[in-house]
Amino acid sequence: MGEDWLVVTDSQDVGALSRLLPDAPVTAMVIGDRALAESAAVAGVAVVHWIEPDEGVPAEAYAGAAAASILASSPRLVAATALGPASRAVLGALAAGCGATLLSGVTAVRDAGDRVEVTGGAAGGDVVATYAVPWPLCALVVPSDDVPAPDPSVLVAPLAATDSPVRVTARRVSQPSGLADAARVVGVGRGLRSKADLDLVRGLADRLGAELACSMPLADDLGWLPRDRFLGRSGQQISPRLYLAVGLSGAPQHLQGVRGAKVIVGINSDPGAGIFRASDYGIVGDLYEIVPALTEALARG
Amino acid sequence: MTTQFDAEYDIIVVGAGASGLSAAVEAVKNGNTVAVLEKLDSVGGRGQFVEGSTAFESAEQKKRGIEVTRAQGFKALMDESQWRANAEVVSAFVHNAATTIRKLSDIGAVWEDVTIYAYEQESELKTMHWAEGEGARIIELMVKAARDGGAEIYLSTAATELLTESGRVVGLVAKDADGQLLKLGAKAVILAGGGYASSPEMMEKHSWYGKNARYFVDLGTPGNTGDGMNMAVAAGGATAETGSVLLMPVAKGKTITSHVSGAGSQPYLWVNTSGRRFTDEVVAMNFSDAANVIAQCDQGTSFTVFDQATKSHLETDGSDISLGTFIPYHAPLDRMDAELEQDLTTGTAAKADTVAELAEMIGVPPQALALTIARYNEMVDGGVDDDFYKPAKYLRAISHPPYYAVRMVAGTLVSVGGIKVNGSFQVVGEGTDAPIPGLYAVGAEASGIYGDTYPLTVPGNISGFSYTSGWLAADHASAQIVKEAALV
Amino acid sequence: MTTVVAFNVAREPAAARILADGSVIWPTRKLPPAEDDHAALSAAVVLADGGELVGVTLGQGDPVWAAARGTTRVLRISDVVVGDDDSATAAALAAAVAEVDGADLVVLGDSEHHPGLAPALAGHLGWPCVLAAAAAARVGEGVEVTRRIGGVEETISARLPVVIAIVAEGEETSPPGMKTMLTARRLPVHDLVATDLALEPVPPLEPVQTRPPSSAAARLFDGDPQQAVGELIKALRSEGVL
Repeated sequence: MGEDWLVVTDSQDVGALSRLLPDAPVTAMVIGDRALAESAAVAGVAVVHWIEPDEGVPAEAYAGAAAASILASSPRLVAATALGPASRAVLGALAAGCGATLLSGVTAVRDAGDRVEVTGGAAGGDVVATYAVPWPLCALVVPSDDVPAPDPSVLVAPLAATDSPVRVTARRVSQPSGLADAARVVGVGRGLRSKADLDLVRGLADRLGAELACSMPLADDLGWLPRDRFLGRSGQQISPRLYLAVGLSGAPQHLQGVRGAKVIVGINSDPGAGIFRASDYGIVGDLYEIVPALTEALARG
Repeated sequence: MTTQFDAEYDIIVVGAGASGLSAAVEAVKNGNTVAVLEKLDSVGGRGQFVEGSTAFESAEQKKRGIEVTRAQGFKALMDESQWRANAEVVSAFVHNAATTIRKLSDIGAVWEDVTIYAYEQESELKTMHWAEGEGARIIELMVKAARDGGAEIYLSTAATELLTESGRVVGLVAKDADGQLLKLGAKAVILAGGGYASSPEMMEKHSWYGKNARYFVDLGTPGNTGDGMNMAVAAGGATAETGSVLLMPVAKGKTITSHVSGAGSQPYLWVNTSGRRFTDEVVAMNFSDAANVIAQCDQGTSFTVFDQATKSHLETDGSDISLGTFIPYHAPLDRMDAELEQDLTTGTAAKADTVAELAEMIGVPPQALALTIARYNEMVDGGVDDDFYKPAKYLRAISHPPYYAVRMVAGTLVSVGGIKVNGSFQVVGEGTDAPIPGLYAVGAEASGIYGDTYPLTVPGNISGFSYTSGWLAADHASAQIVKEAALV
Repeated sequence: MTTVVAFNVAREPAAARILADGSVIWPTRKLPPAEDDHAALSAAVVLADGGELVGVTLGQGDPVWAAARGTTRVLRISDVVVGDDDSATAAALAAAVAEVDGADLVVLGDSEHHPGLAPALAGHLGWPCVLAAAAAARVGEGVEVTRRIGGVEETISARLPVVIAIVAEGEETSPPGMKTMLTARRLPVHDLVATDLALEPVPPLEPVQTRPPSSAAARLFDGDPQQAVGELIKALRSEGVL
């Protein structure tokens, strides 16, 4: 049977390694700069193949080349995270190329002889499902926090590759586009004690590059933020990638306005607060302690 | 004559709120083709604001050892209406409300509690079923179930006129999101528009508050403009008991979770625009009755007056009465100062070191207010309210300046009277006792379980009635469709 | 040059009904449009530039939904449904695209829940792809794609043929009216079955086991603020939202 591969195109992709089969040597395929290639030289990786994109060529333009190189080894298992578009492009090309099953949200794989058992979140993570599929497998895995120790003895071998006709012609910092299109939003609720304390939350929002919003009472009853900043059934409806709810109880009407968010985080001193039922993550604690700590930790990077 | 329709359905539901969605879920379950027309650009209507829902002898009540019999429910609703309610409709509701709870469980509702509404109210029946995520979650679940079953839900699409042929309703005219008119055929139309509370003209004309209704603040969604009632009447339908509206006191310009509004809703000293006390403020315990009182005041306005000592009491010991989950019982109203910063500038509240200044700020005769407060303080000292017999525990002196006044008005939650229906929720023809074939009215669009006032003693009744009447009408319409098909 | 748009080919978790034992029941008749579908459709209309716009979908697709938004005809493989194996779904779509004469551009939603679908479609077609795109337009012989990742906006030019996967940046602002929807029922739908396309009729992948996650509720961090904050940041990084 063929080799096990890890595709790395994003700095967090190495965290995917611990999701793979233990004791099987892994070959890494990196598309990116030298630092990214070196970050993949960790314990458990046998060799790193490295494609360095030409100036102005996005990593995914090399997906075909990377896939062809991996295919030549008749791979058994190829894993990547869904974080970078280039990794997905490689896995898509591979799955088509070798007739592999392509599953996402994978948290574990198990060698079951002629088949592989794949476990992951289904239906948006509300269910843990296990599939038994024939080899080969292409798995888009959820990275773990477990990053293996660097191993300088791992060979980093540059790979000459030609790209496909895709070019980046311009790149600029995207302008904040207002609440409706914001990628990140910080919402604040009645846990805030005074209008002056809004600065505390604004500091966190600025650090996150997030838009500041609030619950209805903060705009209507208190007038601390303009009415076009409140989220809810009768206010703004948003669908950011991250919604951070600070000192917000999470009334059903408020939640109506934020359910489009990909990840919801609640910060509230009451562990029974409704916001935690709607959240993916939460911190139980005093916002006056948590918000400064979070702002500071983000500033440290 | 056969009308050319743009599309034909078995059942068309007008309005995608609590009652309309319930009808749609049941209608598709019964195998019908269904279109739901919603005038607003999102579903839910006032059903989004539902807290809990009434049922009698439900599995959820039994599980919790709560016994409220159907007979008790029937009697309570009939008594509360002074027997102006339609016993047939009340019976249909009371009999089937427990099934509603089960049907909602079937589509995914989780019932967290069954309780009363206001903890200090002794007369309430334990009928309030609280769902996880409240009414907003129920709406979500019903939308999903309706769509899964094949119902087509069209947003920003208003029904404008019913189409009739030889006395029966055969469809309707609708105006879609692009302003295009459509003729839609239906074997049955279910009107579920949620009443007329969004229309100031209809509030003035149909509610019993008359001209004072123009001072009300609408707390709901803007779509409830009585379209169902107007269309039914135009098609020959009758109305009954149109005057009842569920109101709630609210400080002018505030939300129902506001602490200033919460303070204004307490049973302290209430005065009218003449500076005179006018009621036993203990009525505050029943927000519906309390708002009825305020609604009848000159300019639909009253002022709740208290002093610094009472304000501190509210901030530290908490509220003396609750407003559901909005202002919980004994919750410290500690955001008052933060809110007052704004409210003192907008006229919602006033604060002054003397009674005379306070009176001037709120525009009531200073002398009258001074006399009122003197008389009130005298009764506080004596421990007995000789004027309106308020329990002594709510008598709080007004003697420690600064003094505060909160401007209170009636907020409209939903109108609960309109189209006359029979026990199958068929619209009854004006001047006849006979139903108009093919026409139904449900939820707040229909009359039947109320007299002139919403009874809080059976908490959750309008939402329970909306869900229940919705699926009952769909069942009846489905059976008729099958029967008529067999005849052809 | 013909533009193709694939729609209704991703399942949104909100459409699933989850039973107590963790089994997942998906709608059998129709899938609700996926989150990014409306954005993919409007991008495709721009790319078709008044020319033919062919919709492709599978058995649970709603051709009326697409027709009301600008497709001129729809190809549907009526006996294939969306499953968890993105490559299998993509193989069927690629076979449908191959039926469209002169197809040189395929647009579809870049579904968060099917991150492998668009790239696998490109793989089966043997085309390059541009993923996570916000908008696209035909420029000269190629296309110009705008995308925003991590606060950086890129303009990417690509030659044809290419697959473009679009991420919606908000909800649909003005969906078509009911009359348009009803009229769209009359637009042609070409129903095919897998064997017409020499596709192996593979049933969708079924899990051998499902269970609810140990805790469906939020992952809560408490205790020391510094530590809680650190754990949260780590979690958000792995979600890719920081």
